[in-house]
Amino acid sequence: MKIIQNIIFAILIPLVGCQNSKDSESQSIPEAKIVFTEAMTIHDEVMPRMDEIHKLKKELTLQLGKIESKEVIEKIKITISDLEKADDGMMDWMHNVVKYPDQSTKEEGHTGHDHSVHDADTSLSIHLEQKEAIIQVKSDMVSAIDKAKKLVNPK
Amino acid sequence: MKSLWIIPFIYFFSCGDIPRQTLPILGRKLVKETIVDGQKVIDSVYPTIQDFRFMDQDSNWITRELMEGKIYIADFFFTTCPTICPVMKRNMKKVYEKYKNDDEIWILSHTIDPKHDTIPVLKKYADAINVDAEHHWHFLTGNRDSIFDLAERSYMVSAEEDPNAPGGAVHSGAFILIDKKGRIRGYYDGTDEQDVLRLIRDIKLLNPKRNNLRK
Repeated sequence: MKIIQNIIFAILIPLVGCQNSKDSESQSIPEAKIVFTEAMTIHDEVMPRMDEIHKLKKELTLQLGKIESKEVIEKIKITISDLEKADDGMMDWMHNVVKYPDQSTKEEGHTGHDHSVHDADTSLSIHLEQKEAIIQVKSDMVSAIDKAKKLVNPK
Repeated sequence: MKSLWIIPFIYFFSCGDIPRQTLPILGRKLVKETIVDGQKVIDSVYPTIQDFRFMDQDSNWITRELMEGKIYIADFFFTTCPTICPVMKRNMKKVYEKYKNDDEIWILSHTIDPKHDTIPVLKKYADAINVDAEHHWHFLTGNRDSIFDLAERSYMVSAEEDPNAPGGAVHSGAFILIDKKGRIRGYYDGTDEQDVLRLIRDIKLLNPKRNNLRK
């Protein structure tokens, strides 16, 4: 009888163990996917403003030739540099983005249409890190655009 | 005398051309007065794409002058774009497959990320999606400010006139159809398969004689 009990335990323990590890895996995968989707939503929200950055940069560069005040010239130069950094930040983020596997077309039998630098990943820490990075990119973009607008249209 | 009413119908069905569908010329036209043989002639001048000079994946210079006499489709993309570009490329490839053997129809895809999209990167990209410059799909790179300027001041300047044009400018996903004289004839949403099929049909309208000859 004890032998049978031992056999049942021997079977049940690994099964329960496997189930627990599967549970934690299935919980962490969707979370990483949610975080990736949130990061992409932030990206989609600010990406159209790249045109605005370019227009403002052009406008400020034109102003540089017309203004004599050294103080204002310095302000404009710093703002142009902020716009360029924000622009670079977004381009670098997109260049280095790690996708969540089922959001990538790399796995679609290599259709050749997805040219991501990095392979897709399920790791939550990676997706959290890149979400934080896109929040920073957004903040840099919005702040540089606001600053530039004030210089272009001073009131 | 009574049978005279039939004459206009005979003319219509025998001589009159059935009106051919044409594409509008987009952009604000300028009215230009010229004197021809002592007579004042008023012409409408439509805006055309400004001069440009970019390098393609095979290190060939592609210029506005070179595009004179060719129909082409322009778009803006970058190779590592995480969102709309993969869909755009899939749809543009349908246009490419349809017209790749026609020397008068070209595709110009401008990268908005020249820092990362160097000529070797663009070449690798073209190879990966199995397209080439010999069949006139050119992936262009150059000065980033010049690419943005060209997009804003030439290609997307008339976008609001076309109800079908997608919003935004450089990263809008738009395919822009340009005629042989460098005039904008249509905007299409490169992420929408149905709109891309409309583009494929519209290209034929710009080249009716050539299409008739092929039939």
